Amino acid sequence: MLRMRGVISIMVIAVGAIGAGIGAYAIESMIHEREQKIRQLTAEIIEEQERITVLEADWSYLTRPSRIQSLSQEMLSFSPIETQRILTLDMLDGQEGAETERKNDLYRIKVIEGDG
Amino acid sequence: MSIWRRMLKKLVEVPREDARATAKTRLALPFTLGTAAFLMVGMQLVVLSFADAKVPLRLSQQEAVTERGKIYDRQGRVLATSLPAYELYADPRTIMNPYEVTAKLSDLLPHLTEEKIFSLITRNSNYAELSWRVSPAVYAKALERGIVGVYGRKRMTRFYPQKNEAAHVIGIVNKDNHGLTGIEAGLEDTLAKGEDVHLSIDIAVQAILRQEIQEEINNFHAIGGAGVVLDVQTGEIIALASLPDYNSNIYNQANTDAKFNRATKGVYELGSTFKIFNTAMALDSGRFSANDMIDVVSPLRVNGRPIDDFHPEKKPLNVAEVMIVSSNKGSARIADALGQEIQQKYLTELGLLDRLSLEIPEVASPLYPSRWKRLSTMTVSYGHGISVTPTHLASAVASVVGDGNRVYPSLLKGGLKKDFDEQVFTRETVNHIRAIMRRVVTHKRGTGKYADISGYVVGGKTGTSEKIVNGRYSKKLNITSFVGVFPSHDPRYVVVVMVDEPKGQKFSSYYATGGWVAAPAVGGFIRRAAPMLGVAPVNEKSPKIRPFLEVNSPQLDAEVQNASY
Repeated sequence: MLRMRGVISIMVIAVGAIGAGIGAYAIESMIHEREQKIRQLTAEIIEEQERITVLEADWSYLTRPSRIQSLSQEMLSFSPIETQRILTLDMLDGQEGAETERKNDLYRIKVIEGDG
Repeated sequence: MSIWRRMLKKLVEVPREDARATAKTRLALPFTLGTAAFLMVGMQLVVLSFADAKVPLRLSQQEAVTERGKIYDRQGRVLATSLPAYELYADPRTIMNPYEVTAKLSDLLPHLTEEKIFSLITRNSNYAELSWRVSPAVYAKALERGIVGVYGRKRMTRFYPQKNEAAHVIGIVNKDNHGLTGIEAGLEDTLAKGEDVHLSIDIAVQAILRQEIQEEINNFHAIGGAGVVLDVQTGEIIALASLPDYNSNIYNQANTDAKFNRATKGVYELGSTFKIFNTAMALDSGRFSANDMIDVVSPLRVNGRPIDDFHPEKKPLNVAEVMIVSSNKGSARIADALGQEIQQKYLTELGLLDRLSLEIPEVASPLYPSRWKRLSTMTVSYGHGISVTPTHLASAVASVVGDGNRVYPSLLKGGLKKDFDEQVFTRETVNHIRAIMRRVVTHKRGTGKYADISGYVVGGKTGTSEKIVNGRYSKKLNITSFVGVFPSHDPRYVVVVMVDEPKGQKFSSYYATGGWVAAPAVGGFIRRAAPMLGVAPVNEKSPKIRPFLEVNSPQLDAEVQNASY
């Protein structure tokens, strides 16, 4: 009886030990896999960051003011706004401001008519 | 027999009848130990599966390289950044057919002739640098052609997308990415740590300033120029240009003159712009009021040297009028009455006698007489005999027209944080100077008419001085300058433009003065840049503004009236 109990307990322990071993191995390989994944992601992040830096520099290069200016002069008929055409709110209630605004409206209408 | 042997025998040899009991006891120990060990492993497994991974991940840290920080302008536009590039080199010992390799490389390396490439790849060595920096695209082409014996090594190199714009401010690095000039050198520690730097410069405003100065240099066949735009309240430098300049990406091709920063390292006699300070100290010291009359008619001689005016006056003028018509005689007489002590006190408080303090290494100390005599006091009042950088002038003028506190210039966004204010001028003095500066631009007898832009209430002061060549004043070569502020009733920005050696042209009636050369550049700048800087045009005649710009100038007004009728 005593011997039987001993055998059972040894078997239980053996099964437990094997289970624990398998578990530990599984966890370890999982960790390894994840580490691999992290390494891969880190490499991808660095690559992306590098590409962002390149694109940022490219954007800055392409939008440099002198280039925008020459492109605008070449392709658009824009010119700097005349100061008379920039009004602040407190100028609107004054007679003078309102007068300028009215002139601007007339000017705009003329431009539209001219286009048509 | 040793004692050990006997003890072991005693332990092992047990009486037969007790054998079973002994065996049981002996087995109990390893059995317990074994169980305990497995239990511990099991528990550890359970604990690990529930615990958070607080252990730092070594992996990701290892691969993160600290890249040199980027330089941005105040709007977040990239001014300097590090990009991957390839160092292209050859191992001549492994090259079998140098003719074929030369042919394959020649169009990829436009900076080298075919002869040069051939001599590089045939030399007796195992390393020959072909280019220290080629773009990834060129490197990819080289790989595609499968040239045996030619290799690339990836390295981060500095790239300046804005080319010439603000080149002197940004500076450059050497091949090892250590800052050599400009912000790259001045903030080397910060950038090397991988931290980004945000400058006070606005690159769009910078482009306008540079263009306007360049235009005047072209118009007057000048040899160079400089400009500074300063925020009056914070001391932030919004734009800083020095011409001629260079493309930072090909710095080694630039000549010495282009590399020189005229705005912060060059010192010049900036002439009558100093009358702003002379008038301010006259009023602020309480020795003069704006209406006090000054003799600008009778001849003035000191130590046998005459002090003359560009445009001789026929009647005495008041203190404000002396500045409006820019009379040297009047300024000298005012300074003489104030004395050397008061003059030096104010100039020191304005920082005009100290080395320029800025975040770049290219700064200069002013030049002024070591023995400051009576004549020096008189000539310094109109900017003669004292040389400062254009940036000195800009910050000193900001101190006069701001709130009277000293303004320290800075190239960093947000400016320098001050613990306390250093008041130089009273509010009353500030208001007087603002109004007089506006009158310099609007009055018929004023010298700064070409800087007037309707709606922006521009104020300013011109300066023209003879250039010092080999220690002597040249009669032909001038330094012309203009310092503008806008809007005059509540100044937000100071603009200084200096043009070096302009030559009088037919259209300027052969004049090459500050009013003709530098003032139009400031005017042109304000016309284009004010909307970008968020300054709205105003109606100057409105009762909210007009009272702030009143100047009593009866003598000049009468003169103009008589001339027109």
